Amino acid sequence: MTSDQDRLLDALKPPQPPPELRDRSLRAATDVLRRPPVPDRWTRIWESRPLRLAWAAAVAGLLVANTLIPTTPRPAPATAQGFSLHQLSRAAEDEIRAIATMPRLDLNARSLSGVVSAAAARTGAEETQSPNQKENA
Amino acid sequence: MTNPTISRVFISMETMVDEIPPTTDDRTAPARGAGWDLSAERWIALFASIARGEVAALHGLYDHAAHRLYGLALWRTGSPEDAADVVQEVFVKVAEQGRRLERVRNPRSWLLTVTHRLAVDLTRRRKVRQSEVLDEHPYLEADSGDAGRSVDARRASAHLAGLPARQRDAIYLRHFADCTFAEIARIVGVPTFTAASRYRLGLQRLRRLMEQEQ
Repeated sequence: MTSDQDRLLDALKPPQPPPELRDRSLRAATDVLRRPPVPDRWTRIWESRPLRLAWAAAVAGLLVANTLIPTTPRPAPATAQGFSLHQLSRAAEDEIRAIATMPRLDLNARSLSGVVSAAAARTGAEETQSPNQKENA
Repeated sequence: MTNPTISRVFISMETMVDEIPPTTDDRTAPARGAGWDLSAERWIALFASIARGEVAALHGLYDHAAHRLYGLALWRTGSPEDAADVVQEVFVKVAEQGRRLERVRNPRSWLLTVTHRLAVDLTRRRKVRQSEVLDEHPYLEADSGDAGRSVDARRASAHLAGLPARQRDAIYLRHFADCTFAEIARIVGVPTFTAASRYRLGLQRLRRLMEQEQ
């Protein structure tokens, strides 16, 4: 901003307020100033007598209810702390076993591994026999 | 029996509702040196006196501030009657603040902010056309009784009426209220760069209008 531009409005000033404005403004402001201060709404809530009584009554009611209501024995909470580690692992094993055990369609069927091993055993026995034994067989 | 922390929060909430700038605005820098014939310390002392309920301090505040506040309101509303209403409302707001005035760190800036907001509200309510400024109520008048300057003042007023209100606000606050661009920005609620830009563009336009006339 150049000083030339700043000089554009030199020697000029805004007009004076009307003379009667002084009395008007000061009278209105003085009236407000002399009024007792009006507390804001939160202060009014904080200092409200009915609200304090209501709060005290609610607290008293809770205390009475806490004293008078009979306490019944409650079952132990079923939390993880109620199980031992052994119980947990056994339960897990049972579950895994139930999943892994496949139902069999034919209860007399032999497993493939059983057939293979039986055949292998038979072949090995034949190889160890002497030619005479084979002829006899 | 009032919790001071809760009261402080609630007070600031209420001041926001009433569109009064918060009195504990940390962004408000202390007023720079002397302005409007008073030092920053004296402005603060004046507000503290009003906060204590001293009516004489209210009179002192009027003597020091009314001229500038009226000018700002007049430049924004374009109507002397509306400007007078705004100034009266500002003083009522000051009185309503009570003890909260003690927390105002820059009273001069605070007063201008309240004036600006009230003037903007009034203008919006009444839908006043900014360019309708009467010849007998110019925006400016000559500092002395110089007839030539009086003509200049009338011409400048006519050109100022043609400026956008935002640029006019910036020019007034900078040139007649001795505000920094940072203060103008806080008063009108824009970034500092925008405030400076409005001032520069406003002066450029004013100068162009005056040159065209010649």
